[in-house]
Amino acid sequence: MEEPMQIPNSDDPVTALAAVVSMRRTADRLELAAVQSAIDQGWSWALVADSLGVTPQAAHKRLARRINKPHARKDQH
Amino acid sequence: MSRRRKPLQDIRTMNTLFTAAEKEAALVGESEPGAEHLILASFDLPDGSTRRAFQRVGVYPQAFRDAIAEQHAEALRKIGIAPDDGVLDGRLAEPTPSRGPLRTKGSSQNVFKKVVKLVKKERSQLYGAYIVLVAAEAEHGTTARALEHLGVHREALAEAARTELDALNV
Repeated sequence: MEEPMQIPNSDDPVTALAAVVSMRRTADRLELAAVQSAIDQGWSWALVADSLGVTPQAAHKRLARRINKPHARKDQH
Repeated sequence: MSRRRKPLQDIRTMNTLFTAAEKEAALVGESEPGAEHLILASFDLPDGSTRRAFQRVGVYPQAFRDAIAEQHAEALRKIGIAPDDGVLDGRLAEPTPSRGPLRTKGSSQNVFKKVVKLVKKERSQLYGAYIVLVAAEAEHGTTARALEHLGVHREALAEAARTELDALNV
């Protein structure tokens, strides 16, 4: 079992706020990479949106231009 | 000080700068450019002053780019998260030009507002070193941490930027 991650001590704002910025950046990067994988695997934007908890329009507007178009696939997730 | 304001040229510079900053952010999977991306973008401005200012403190563009990534990794390590160390890079699409209004992070908005004010006050043109000069003022944030990672004093970089600007504004 993996070690649980400790939430940083907020009493040390220099470290905690630097961590917040880097976690947001990592979340952005992970989101893009994971959505790319989903689209490559044939997921619809509606399914991606459901998984992210946003509307399909919002997901498409924010992410579509940052995702490579899927290769021609017939199998839909 | 130069009294040769060229507003149209400044607009062209701004367009170049923001397009490049957005691309720099997108290259690493960030949705909006921050102050550090403005600096990276300003390395390629034709006036060359950002590049020269950094050279004065012994830093080349790639080293600053690497330092940004390394300080992010360091911040994550401090809280027990293993940084992805570029694992995700290979999954990110090539950035494409955005449509619609540019969205930027607060850090780049702050820097740019101060830069515009300073450029007007000094009746200068918009040069890359203005971005460096203003961005180096910030005590905290990604740029400050990247400079600290490189062992560069913010004051020294600001002084280097001022030297470059003085040379351009004679």
